[in-house]
Amino acid sequence: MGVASLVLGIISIVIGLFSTGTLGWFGAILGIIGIILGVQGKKVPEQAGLAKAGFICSIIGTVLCLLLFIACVACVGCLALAA
Amino acid sequence: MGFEIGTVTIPWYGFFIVLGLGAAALLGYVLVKQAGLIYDEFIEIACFVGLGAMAGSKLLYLVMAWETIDVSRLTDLEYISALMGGGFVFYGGLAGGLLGLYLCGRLLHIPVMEYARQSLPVIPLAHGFGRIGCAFAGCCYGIPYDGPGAVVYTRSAAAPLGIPLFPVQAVEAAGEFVLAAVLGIYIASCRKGGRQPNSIRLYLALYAVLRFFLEFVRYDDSERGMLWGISTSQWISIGICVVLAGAEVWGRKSRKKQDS
Repeated sequence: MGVASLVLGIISIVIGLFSTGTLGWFGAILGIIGIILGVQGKKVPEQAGLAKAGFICSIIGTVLCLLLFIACVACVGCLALAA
Repeated sequence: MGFEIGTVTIPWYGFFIVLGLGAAALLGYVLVKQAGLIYDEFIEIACFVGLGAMAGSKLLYLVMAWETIDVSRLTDLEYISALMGGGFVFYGGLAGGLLGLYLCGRLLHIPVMEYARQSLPVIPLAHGFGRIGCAFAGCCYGIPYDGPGAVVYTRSAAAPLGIPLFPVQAVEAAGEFVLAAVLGIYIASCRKGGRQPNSIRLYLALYAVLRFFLEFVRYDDSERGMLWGISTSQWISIGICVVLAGAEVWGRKSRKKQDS
């Protein structure tokens, strides 16, 4: 759980930093799953360190992805669809 | 529709949603600790609800905008990303969030309803921040109006430019914050009196009424979907009120039967 959380967290950070919002929705989903796995991993004493790192990375990744990609109804969506 | 840090443009909506999530996490911490619950479990529930809300709000948006979707371009990654990135409908998110809540309880064996009852003000708080994001971005705009507080957009991809509009997004944001405060006070008073707060019903009823009336002063009809002059959100508001009233009547009847 801890390792999986860390991996998902790092992937979501990479997506958040380098996809300029294009794959942000995917990064946000990975980040949120990473947060859940991180919390689960923290409950196992042997994995607590890795899980904590994964938890923090996943939060950072989720925030980065949400910051750059999310738009409201009538914002980018309609315009992108109309284009 | 955003501000720039170096070469990166941060969209207003995303910025305010993240700010709202941060505020909701802080308020959630206070409410969960006051109720004697575990914060880690609150985070797990929030994640499940978040995933469900993302899926639900996207799905309802796609259903509403299905006529504009170009099926032949569904293999184009850029088109898929545009489809996934833009457009979320709150009521779809609410339904998806409730499904996420249910799944979290089933999979992780957490008493999710107790957490939902005690920490519900976090939803209107985060939603209120989202509406401020709408006000900055110019989406979900109001009807033409030149009274006090009217807003004129000079730069927006969604709102009509150069026309004074009713600040419906700011009014809804204020309504959401008042709703969060009312729920917080109600939960605290129930805790003092040793009663179980029925905050979910209260929130649904108050938000449905607020949304129903605010929809009349919105002007983005083409993006929201209308049926017989009533928007999709107003139909859902009516449905919620009918279901809540039915549940109340049914609850009273069954209580009377038990008493007799």
